[in-house]
Amino acid sequence: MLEEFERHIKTDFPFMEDHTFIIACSGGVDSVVLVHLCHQLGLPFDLAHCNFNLRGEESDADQYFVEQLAQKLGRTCHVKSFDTTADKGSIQMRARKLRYTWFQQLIDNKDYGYVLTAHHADDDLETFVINLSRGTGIEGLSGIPALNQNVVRPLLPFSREWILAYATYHDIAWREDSSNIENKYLRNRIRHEIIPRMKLLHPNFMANFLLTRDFLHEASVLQKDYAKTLRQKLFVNQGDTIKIDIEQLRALEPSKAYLYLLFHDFGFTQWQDIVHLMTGMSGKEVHSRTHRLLKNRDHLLLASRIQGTVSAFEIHHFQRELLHPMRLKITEVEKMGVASANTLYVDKEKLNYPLMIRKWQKGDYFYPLGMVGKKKVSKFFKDEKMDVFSKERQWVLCSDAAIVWVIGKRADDRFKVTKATQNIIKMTVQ
Amino acid sequence: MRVTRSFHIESIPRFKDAILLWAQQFEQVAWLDSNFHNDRHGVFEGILAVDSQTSLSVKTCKNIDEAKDFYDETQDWLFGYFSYDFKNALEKLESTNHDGLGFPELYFFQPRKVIGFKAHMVTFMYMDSVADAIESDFETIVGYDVRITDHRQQIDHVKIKLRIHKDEYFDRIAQLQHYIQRGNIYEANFCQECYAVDTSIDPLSTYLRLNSISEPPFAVFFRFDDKFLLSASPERYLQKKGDTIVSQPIKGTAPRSDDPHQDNVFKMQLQIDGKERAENIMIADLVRNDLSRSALKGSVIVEELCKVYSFKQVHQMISTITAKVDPDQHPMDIIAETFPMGSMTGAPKIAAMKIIEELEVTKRGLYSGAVGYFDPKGNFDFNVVIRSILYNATKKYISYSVGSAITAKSIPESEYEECLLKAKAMRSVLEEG
Repeated sequence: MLEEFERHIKTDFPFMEDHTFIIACSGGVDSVVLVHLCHQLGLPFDLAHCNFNLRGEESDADQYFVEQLAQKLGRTCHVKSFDTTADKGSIQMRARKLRYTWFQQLIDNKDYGYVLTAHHADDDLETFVINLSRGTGIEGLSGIPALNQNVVRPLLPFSREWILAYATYHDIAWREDSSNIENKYLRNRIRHEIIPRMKLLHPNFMANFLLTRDFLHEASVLQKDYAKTLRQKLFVNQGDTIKIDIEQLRALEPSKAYLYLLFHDFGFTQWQDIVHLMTGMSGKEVHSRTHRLLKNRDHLLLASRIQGTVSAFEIHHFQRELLHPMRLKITEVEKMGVASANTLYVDKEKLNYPLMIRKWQKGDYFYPLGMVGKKKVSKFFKDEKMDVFSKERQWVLCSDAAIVWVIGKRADDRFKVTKATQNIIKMTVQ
Repeated sequence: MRVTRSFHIESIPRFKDAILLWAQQFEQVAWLDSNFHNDRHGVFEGILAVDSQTSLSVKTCKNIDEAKDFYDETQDWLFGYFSYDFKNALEKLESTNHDGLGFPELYFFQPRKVIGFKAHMVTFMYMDSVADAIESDFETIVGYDVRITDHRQQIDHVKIKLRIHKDEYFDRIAQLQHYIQRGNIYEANFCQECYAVDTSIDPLSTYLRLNSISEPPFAVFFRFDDKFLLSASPERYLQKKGDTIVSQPIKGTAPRSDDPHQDNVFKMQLQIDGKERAENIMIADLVRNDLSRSALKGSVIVEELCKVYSFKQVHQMISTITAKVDPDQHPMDIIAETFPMGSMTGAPKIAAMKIIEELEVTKRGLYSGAVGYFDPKGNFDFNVVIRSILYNATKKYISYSVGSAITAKSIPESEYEECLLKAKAMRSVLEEG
């Protein structure tokens, strides 16, 4: 059993051996088994436990259990106690958010690489059924992502039965009913009333579900490919805007599915509004976070929301968040974490506020991190093999005239954190 | 569908600064602030709308249907304005005078995020699609925790020019009074434009300075794309709450004085000034007539006539007229029946508007139009766009207009003085940076 897990890690998450990570451990069987598996493989990790104080002494006993477990295995155990009693209405949503925010803080401040959660195949199936009941598209049915930013879910290929069997076989102790306060009620009903019946339908139900999930995931990839082809056919590039013939668009049936396919990538979700737009008068617009779609006689014009004079956004020193033109979180951190395409660490003293986010311009240059000398941004794009669309959507972060970050692509060497750095600013694109 | 959540806030001035700063990241912003004036008609003390989902922009209004369709399709919060020239969609009129600003004649947007506050309670009304951001937005806004103290200096030095010169002004007033003597009209509001070209300003700090000078009950910071309305309006045009509509026209202005005794004298003089009262009553009568077009029979009431209210900069004479309306009536139609507001046209209205078009030299555009909002239940609240700076950032064009009501008894010199008095706040905000 351990071999299966080891193989999975080696193939899909080879990086897990390199950097210390945290395992979110509630004390429930799933996360305890995950801890044991990782311990058996000698991986570098610590534990993190959230105490939401929702079940009085039981909650404290959970915490004690996890602390004992960590001690036994010689690992550090981070514990955070939350007061969620103030606001009963949205405990589930809040708990989820609080949990992930805290993990993120741990990662940032204690130099962990990422966090592991113990979601498994049955969780995936439950999510599938929940999304099904709420109404969803192919994305909502193609599974919980195994790797999402800093969150890794290595147990997704394994069923609850497998995990229970492992725990029983190795005589591992766990705490009952402690995990999963998210959607607890709905999940429990699905878990106990619906899924056992579904499993009776076919002896290999679980395996077949996982196959189905993979098919759906592949179908959504296919769909994206088709969208690309269709856009090449329908979208006429006109400088800053894209022109789309309404008659051609209206000929596509089913219309909402096509609108989704064509415009979802530009942040649109309000299909009914776009249908109105096609039949309505000129002058009407529909806005997504990043784009505007406007009606002009018999065409729709798609443009980035940032044009003309409003092409730059300031970031002031007190600002902790930016919504336009992208969602950017700005935090002051004590230590460097793992920088990635979407996470930047810079030396605060080298910045000159207000910072500016703007589209790249011809003639822009920067000093790519890890390279000697400067490089034209256009040359950088070419080397990165970026297409016209991505180039048009590319933003840069500037301090005065200097580029600090080609956002989501490459940081600038001049602003990097060095030994002399006093204060570190972390920016994350979400 | 919207998700509503309320929070308690400690310091409202702090919160107001923070929320206005937070709003600057959006390309569509509507911020309506009552500046703590105790208004028994007000629903919120302040309301912010940002993050546009859909919008309607009409360059030249031909009819009211576009606006109506947009309202019917959305049935939601809509923030925006009717420019004065929306009149051309309602009556056989035209607007051909010079337009340096280039604002559309009508503009509305449907915000994803609406935040209103009253007393120490702030209420977030977010579309479902962004409802999960309520808490984090609230925390972000509260987290700003700054009072805006350093209003940034102007980017450029602003040099104000007048569209018509003093002699020409007197000449045109003479023509206007000639029309009055001939009996075409008995009152008209004559306006002139002050403007600056090739000049950039920082809209937020300009608004904050303008607002701090007069702290009016109907302050507005409105932005869409590169166009800005910075308004310190003292005047409500029309409000609908349930089945009641309220209009509060202003006519009659007097200066204030630092000396309390003198200040009181100015106030009393305004209260009994025959010319000012006549102007106000003429307009109150006109508004009564406008409201009765959509009102239920016998429901039009003049709640207050010629009541003097004191603002930071001036004393003003205000009348309040209310009426009951049929709940099934389309809110856009109620506006159409009364638009434009009589206080900015004159009487009789259509004849006055024709003469205004002939004698004024600037297309009024948003000036003397109405800015405000509709809510999902069909309630609405609109202010008169006066004491306002309009700014087109792309064209680098800044404009503010002022005017006064001309009757047969008007003395051109004092009308000119009144215009200067009304322009004082805007001028000092722009020129002194």
